[in-house]
Amino acid sequence: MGISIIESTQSGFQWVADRVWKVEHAFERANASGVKASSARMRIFCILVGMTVAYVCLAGFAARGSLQGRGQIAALTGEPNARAQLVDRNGQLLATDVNDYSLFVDPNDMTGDDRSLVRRALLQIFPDLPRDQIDKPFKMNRRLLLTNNIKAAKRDEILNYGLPGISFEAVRVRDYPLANTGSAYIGMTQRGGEGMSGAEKAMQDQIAANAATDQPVTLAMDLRIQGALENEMRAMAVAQRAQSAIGIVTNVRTGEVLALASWPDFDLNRPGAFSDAEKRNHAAVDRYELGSIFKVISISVGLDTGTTSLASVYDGRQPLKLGNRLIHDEHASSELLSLTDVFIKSSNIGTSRVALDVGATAMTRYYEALGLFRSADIELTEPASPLLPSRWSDSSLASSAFGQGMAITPLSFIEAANATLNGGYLRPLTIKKYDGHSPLPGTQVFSAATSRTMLELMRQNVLKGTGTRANAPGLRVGGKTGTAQKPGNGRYTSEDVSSFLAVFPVDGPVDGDRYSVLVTFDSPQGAPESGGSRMGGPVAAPVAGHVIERIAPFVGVARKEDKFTGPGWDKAPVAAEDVTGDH
Amino acid sequence: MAHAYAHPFTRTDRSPTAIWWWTLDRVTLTLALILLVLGFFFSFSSSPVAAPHTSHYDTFYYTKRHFVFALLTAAVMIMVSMLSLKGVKRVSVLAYGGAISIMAMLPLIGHAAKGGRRWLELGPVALQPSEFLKPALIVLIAWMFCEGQKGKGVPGVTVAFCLYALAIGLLLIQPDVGQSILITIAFGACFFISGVPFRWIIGMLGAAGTGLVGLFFIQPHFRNRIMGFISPDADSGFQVARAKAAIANGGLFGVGLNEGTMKRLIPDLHTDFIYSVVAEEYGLWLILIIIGIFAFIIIRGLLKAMAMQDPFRQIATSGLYIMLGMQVLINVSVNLGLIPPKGMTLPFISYGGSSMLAMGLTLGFILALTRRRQEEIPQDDPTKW
Repeated sequence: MGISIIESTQSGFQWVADRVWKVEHAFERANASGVKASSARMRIFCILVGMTVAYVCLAGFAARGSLQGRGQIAALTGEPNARAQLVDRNGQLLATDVNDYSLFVDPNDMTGDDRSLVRRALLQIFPDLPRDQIDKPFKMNRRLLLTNNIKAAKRDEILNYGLPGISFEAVRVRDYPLANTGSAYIGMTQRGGEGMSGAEKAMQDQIAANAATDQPVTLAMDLRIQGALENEMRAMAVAQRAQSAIGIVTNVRTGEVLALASWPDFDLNRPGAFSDAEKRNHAAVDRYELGSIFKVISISVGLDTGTTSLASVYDGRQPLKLGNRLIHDEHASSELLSLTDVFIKSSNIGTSRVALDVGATAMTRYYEALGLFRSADIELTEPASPLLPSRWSDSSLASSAFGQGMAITPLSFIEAANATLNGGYLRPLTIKKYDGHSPLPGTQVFSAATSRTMLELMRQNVLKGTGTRANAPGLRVGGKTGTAQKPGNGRYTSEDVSSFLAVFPVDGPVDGDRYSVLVTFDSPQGAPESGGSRMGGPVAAPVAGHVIERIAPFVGVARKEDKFTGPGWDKAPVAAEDVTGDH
Repeated sequence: MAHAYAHPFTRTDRSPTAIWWWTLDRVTLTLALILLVLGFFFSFSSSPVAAPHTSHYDTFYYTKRHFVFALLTAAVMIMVSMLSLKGVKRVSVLAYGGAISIMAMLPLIGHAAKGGRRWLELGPVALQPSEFLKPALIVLIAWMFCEGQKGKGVPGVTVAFCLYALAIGLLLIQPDVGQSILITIAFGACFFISGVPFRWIIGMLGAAGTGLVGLFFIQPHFRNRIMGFISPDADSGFQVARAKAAIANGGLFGVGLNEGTMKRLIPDLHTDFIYSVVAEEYGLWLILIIIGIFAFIIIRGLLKAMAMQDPFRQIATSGLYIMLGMQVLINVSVNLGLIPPKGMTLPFISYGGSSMLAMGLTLGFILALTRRRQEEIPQDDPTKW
């Protein structure tokens, strides 16, 4: 073995030397033949042909590059953080990039006489600036930044003084001409140009991409509807001294969010001046036990599974005993209730029985199908996940059916409730304007018949049930009230969450355009307008009614009579208000 | 009264300058000088934007420097073109040796910029030795291949490969992948022309492919460039997108001298991206003329090389022309966004001290190699040389 290693080492060197020699000789031999010169010529010619082809291609690509049009330029005209305009569905401007200006002073561009003049002028133009700061460029005798964030109008004013040695540099900033309007929906941007909340964040990629082509990004919002909703909601929220208020208007057919309001709102141009609480999107982040408006969902499930029907009768005379818990009806008790009565008198006993008849397995399957076990399906990044009961007992199942023990965001609720109002399809909510022809996403959860029955129940509730204050003459409004006690510190507090879910028009094809309006007030304190009441009927229903009155023309709903508009319907007595919870 | 025009060099003048003039490839020299002048004109567009914005902002900072370098480049070109074949070899050995020694020291004394350590700061001038390495290496390997062919015991191929490997090794340390690729292409072409068997070529192509894939995984700088090209939201992709936008902005006739707006957004606009500035301000017509001039120089040069008898001159001339041609192809392709950014200048036109002077050296070599020699003069030539 030892010998062979030595031998192989020797032959290793030898091998390398041999290889080199062989390579050199092969090379030499290749050229030794008489064809050498012509061979080299052929090879250069090959390269020449290759080069020629390459240059012809290059010229072609150069022509294509120069003549391809100016499409990609806009992207590059400004800073990389340029953002497209945001407009509502009718092209109304919601957000746009504008220039703010930084002011520089350069004493080297002034004559000796001018210097004191300019200095005095600056002191007058900027009375708030420290004198030192204005003196600094003159003392240091070089160009210095004086101040930032000068608006274009102020810049024009300064330019009109014709001062020497004054120059401006533009800084791109985001401007929201409507300030507070739609602040939760539109959302704010960071100084560097990144979306931070609302549509600005959710649509970040498209906004950045559209900046290239200078195409505005169109939202599903209708500014007129947004304005009406905020206007009505704010008036009531202020009157009620509510902690916060939420309003959502959607098209139940397309899932478009036409308006989304969260009060208190804030000025998108000055987000720093507002607290986090004021900037919170309550519709997406806050989770509520929404109370009786949830019966829209639980009764629909009962109807859809066939465990209940309009012919079913429930006994409201006795409290419902589940284990050691009693479920009462506040005012509607002591009678036999049809399903219609259960809905329009908002009977917790009846609703609980409907849910128990459905059973926990089927009920939770519906909840899951309706997206109630996840955060709301919408482009917005804010929606929070629900808080669910740890166990689906008879008690928690019954509670959930009348909107207790399960805390969901208003966005989640309206997403699920829309499925009962549009022919049974769970559609994702969207902040993008629907183009009118592409197939709508969504899965069918309820049958069309269930949806039709629920629309009629809601209509009857507005005509002779708890929701009469939401009626808008001729607009075929349906709706459901809800008043839930607010939980806190492990028990229910004396504060309420008062809501109204309205839909209009209830007639027409079951899969036609139809609009849902959800209004929720967190902790209303009672006001003369509501007769001192803090409940959904007096507080939220009138807001929904007023909003519908105002927005019906914008969504193209004309006033007309429906089958309920007979002599008897208007005179139906107002049912007692419902309160959810065990008393 | 009219004086008859008297040519500075008569055909019978036997002074070295006169001999140089009459044997010179005057067409190529003229075209190269035209390109240099064009480059100087273009610097008026690029300099105001590219000039350092210091307290002593000088609008024509780069124009002034460009003027000086263009003059020096022309001088280098003309002086080198006067060299004899032996002189060309000598200068190449010196340039190669000098460049290699500086490059070997660069990791210690070099100036890092743009993801590589390629420059040597010498007072106001930044020297990029790899630029001078390129033409010298081509001449040397042509010489070595030629010696190898003679079969007189000189291991030419081995020496050539060693020279190449040394250069590539030092380039990849910097790292400068663009120059490595350019040198490899020119080296391969020289090897091909000098009569390498075809199965070796296949092997070499395989090795080059493996090398590129290896580079991708080993060199983060190279990988970033490639990835940036594939997914253009990376930084360098932005550079290319801006160059493309500038080119598109120019259209056929351009936006007008100094009217370009996109150029403000292109980094290195006076060096690697001068093409897009020209395309924006002057338009496609001038671009096509420039590409045409380069194509004419290179195709004419390769045709000349085909006709040569001496293997050394043949290989060296075609190698240098191929390198020049490839550099133009690569630079323009980068500007058009066809290939990832390489950090390579447009010969004669881009600003860049080292790159311009090295181009002077390259074309000087070419002119020296293509000067008609005595044996090529037809017997009935009146000058009898």
